[in-house]
Amino acid sequence: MRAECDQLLILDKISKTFTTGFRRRKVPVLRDVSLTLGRGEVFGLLGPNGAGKTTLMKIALGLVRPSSGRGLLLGGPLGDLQARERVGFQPEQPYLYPGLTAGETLDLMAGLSRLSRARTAARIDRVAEQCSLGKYLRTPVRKLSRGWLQRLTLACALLSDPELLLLDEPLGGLDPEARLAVKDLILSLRAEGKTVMVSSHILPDVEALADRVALLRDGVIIASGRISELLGSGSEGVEVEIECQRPIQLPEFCTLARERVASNRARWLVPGDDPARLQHVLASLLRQGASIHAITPQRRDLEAFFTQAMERARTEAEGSAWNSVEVAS
Amino acid sequence: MTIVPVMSLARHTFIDALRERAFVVLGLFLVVILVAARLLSPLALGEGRRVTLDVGLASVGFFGFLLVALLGTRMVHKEIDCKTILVLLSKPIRRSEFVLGKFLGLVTVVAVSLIAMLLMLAGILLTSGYEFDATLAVAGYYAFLELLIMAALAMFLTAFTSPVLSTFFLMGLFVAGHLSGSLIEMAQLLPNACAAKMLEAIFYVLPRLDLYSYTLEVVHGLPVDGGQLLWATSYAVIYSVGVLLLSVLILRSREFS
Repeated sequence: MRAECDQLLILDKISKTFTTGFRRRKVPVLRDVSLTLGRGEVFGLLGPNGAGKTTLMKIALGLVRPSSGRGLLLGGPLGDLQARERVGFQPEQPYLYPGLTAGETLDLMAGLSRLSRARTAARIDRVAEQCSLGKYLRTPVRKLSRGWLQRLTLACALLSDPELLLLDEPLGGLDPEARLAVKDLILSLRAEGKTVMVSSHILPDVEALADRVALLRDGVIIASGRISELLGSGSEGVEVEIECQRPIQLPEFCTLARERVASNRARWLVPGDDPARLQHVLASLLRQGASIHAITPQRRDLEAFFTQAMERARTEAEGSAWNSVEVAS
Repeated sequence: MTIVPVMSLARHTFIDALRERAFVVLGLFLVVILVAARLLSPLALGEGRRVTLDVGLASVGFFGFLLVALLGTRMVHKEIDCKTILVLLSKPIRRSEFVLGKFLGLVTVVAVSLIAMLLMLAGILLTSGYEFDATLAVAGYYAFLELLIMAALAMFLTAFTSPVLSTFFLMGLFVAGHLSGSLIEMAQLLPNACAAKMLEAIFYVLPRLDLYSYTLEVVHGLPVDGGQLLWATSYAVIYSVGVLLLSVLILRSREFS
């Protein structure tokens, strides 16, 4: 039980199929998704549109019932009322009442979070400060720009000082300055021991924030783990920019990294992170009279990993589809 | 059930509704109708008081109903359509608390509007030099009970249909509810026992809005019947609670994707 308390969210083989339309067509959205969220970590949920990220968060909150599988939210059943007192949720779009002011919206959310009147005032002051909303508290929601609406929904999620935050695209619609502020806020929340699940399309931001990530594609987790483990050493090789007056010979493993920089300048990628291999290439270049202008290590980032993982999953899916056709025929 | 989230939702539903444009437009229409009643009453050949009271109370009831139809039939559907329900239900609030909070917010709007409309009518009667007594307040109370039932029905309909269909059904129930008393008489006249039973069942399902017509008593200054008042109050409360429970059941079965 103690172990479960350290796991704020446990999802075990969650599947969800929606039935849509007049013909009751079945649309599978999630298939056997399992993941856990430990205390004090930032977890990144990545995936293209329609991958099932939002549905997964809604299942955790009990807004959507899973078709199969089970899970625990803060030690209770998914969507449990007591558990929801300790969870903050920021939806992808700012779903708020346009007729209320930002202050009234926060007051409403405080009431729904069962905060006492005294605590409400203190918490509104605190989240207004955290999200820099102070001067907009009397502004009607309909007059706030997208960026400020995003901050307001984040403030609503933070209002009950939750242990677990489920943030659906929290950086969407924010200008660079606001994005930085929200990223700092998420990191400070982690430092306070809060657990944050972030779904986002902005991969460099997730890379900067998350300890662990899961990649969703068509409702299936195709990769998950610590970013450092997923990216391996992180090195894709070393890019060498050379200048030469005549054609040169390079080992076969070297590839032209980019378009020719100039008529007599080019960039070559030496793959891998073996220093002996790099020394061999550099010695060969110097022997052939090439002058070396730059040596730049190429680090594989989450974006590259994401693209490759998606491509791999797509190829595998197409392969299995062909196999199915062959079996059927 | 916890009172804090219910009252918070009710308070903010009330604030949000007061800022609805429909509310202002309805208020302006009512002023026009009441002023028209005041201007036309001298033409009523000595029946000015009766005409003002008739038109006034009918307008109060009708505009109250319009208010419920306009605000109530969108109440839950708008939350689902605009997805504000996702934010609300992600908080520690039960679906029953959600329904009750929205209902109380709507009922507060109705109550405040009724008081404002009755004060306006009383002002017109006073400036015209016509007499009126406490029965006017009783008429207002009866109108409130009727609108309480209609508000509960609006909440029920809006939990599973669009605002347009909800309004359509609500209007049907409003008309049928005022005629429901005749159903039981009709059932007694039917030769077919099965049809009579069916009509009787419909009578019990439909709201008995005929209980809430009180214009005649006000016009003639008849004494207030305490028993009838208690029966009308009990019926409105029990019927509304029943309908709200059905709304909760519907919302509990729904997913919000």
